[in-house]
Amino acid sequence: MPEIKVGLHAMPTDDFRQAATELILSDQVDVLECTFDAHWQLAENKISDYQYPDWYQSLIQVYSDENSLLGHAILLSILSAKTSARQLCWLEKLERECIERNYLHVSEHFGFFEADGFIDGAPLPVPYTKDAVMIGRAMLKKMAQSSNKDVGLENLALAFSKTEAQEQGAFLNDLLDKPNNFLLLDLHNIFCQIANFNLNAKDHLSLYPLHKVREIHLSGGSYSKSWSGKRDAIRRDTHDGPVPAEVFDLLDLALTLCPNLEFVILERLGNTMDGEDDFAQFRADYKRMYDLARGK
Amino acid sequence: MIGRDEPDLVLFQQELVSALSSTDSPDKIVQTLESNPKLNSFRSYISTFDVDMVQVANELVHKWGSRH
Repeated sequence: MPEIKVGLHAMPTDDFRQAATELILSDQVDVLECTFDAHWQLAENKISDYQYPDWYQSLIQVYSDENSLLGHAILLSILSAKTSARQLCWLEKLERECIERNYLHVSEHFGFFEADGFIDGAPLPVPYTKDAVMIGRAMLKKMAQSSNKDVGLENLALAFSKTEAQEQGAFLNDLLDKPNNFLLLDLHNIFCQIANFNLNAKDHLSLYPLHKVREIHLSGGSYSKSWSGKRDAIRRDTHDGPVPAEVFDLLDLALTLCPNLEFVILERLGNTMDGEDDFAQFRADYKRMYDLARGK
Repeated sequence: MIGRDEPDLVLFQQELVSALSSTDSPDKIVQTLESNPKLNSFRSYISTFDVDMVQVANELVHKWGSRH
C-alpha cells in the first residue's frame, strides 16, 4: 500500500497561518485541503466579492501546482429532494473551479440543507429510502461530470436516532456505488455518534463501508447541554477545539480497517485559536496524527 | 433524479425545515411532525426521533438558516 499522505484543511484566517506555517515550512504537510465554495455567491451566478488573503491564495496555488490539493465543499446540499437553480449554478461553478485549480478529488457532505427556498448552513439527516438514494446518486454523477474528478461524501455527525446513526454507513454505501466514488470518513463525526448513542467504537465503525474510505478527517468539538436530561451532555461537531484522545484512538483503529486510505487531514475552524498555546496544541495534534498515519 | 422531484421527500424536507425553524420545544416539534397528515408515509421514521438530536437540529437551523 502506498504511503498515506497527511495534511491540513487550510483556512484563510490568521490563526491558521500562525499555527500551520511551521508545519508547512518544515515539509510535514503532504497535502492541503480547501473548501472551495465557502464564499460562492450562488443566487446571482456572479463571482464573489470576497477576496481571500494573498498568502492563502498563494498557498493553495503551490499545492495545486504540486498535485497535492484536495477539494472540499459545503454548499451543494446533495440530498435535497427538489433540485434548485442554486444547485445548478453550483455545478456550473464547480466545472470552472476544477479547470482553474488542480484538485486530486472533490468531496461534499452527506445530508441536505436546502428545501423550499430555505437554506440551512449545516446538513440535516435524510430518511434512508430508495428515492433518497436515487437523488444522491444522480447528484454525485452530476458532480463527477462537472468536476471531471472522483467524488466523495463525508459522513454526518447528526442523526435523529440511534437507528439512523447505525444505518448511515449502509446509506453511504448505497450512494457511493460507482468506482469514482469514495467515503470521506470524519472520525470526530463518528465519535459524536458513539458518544451520543452510547455505541461501541469498533462495532459502529464497522457499519461504514470502510473499503471505500479514501480520506479521513480529524478534528475537535465541544459539548452542549442535553435538552431531555437523559444524557450528561451532547457531543457536537463544532471543529473548534483540540482533537480528543478518543478520536486518536479511532484513527488508530481506522488505519487497520481502511485498506484504501490515501489521505489523513486535520481540520479546525478559522478564528478558533487564540494565542501560542492553542497554536502549539494544533501542531501537537498534527504531529500525533502524522506519526500514527505514518506508523511511527 | 436531477430534474425530477420526489414529491414525498420534497414535502418531508419542507415540513421538517419549517418545524425546525419554529421556536417550539423539541418534543413539540416532533409532535407537530407526527401529527402532520401530509407526512403519513414518514410517521414511523419520525416516531424514532430523539428529542436531544431534534434540539441540535433546531439550534443549527436557527443559527445558520435563512430563507432565499
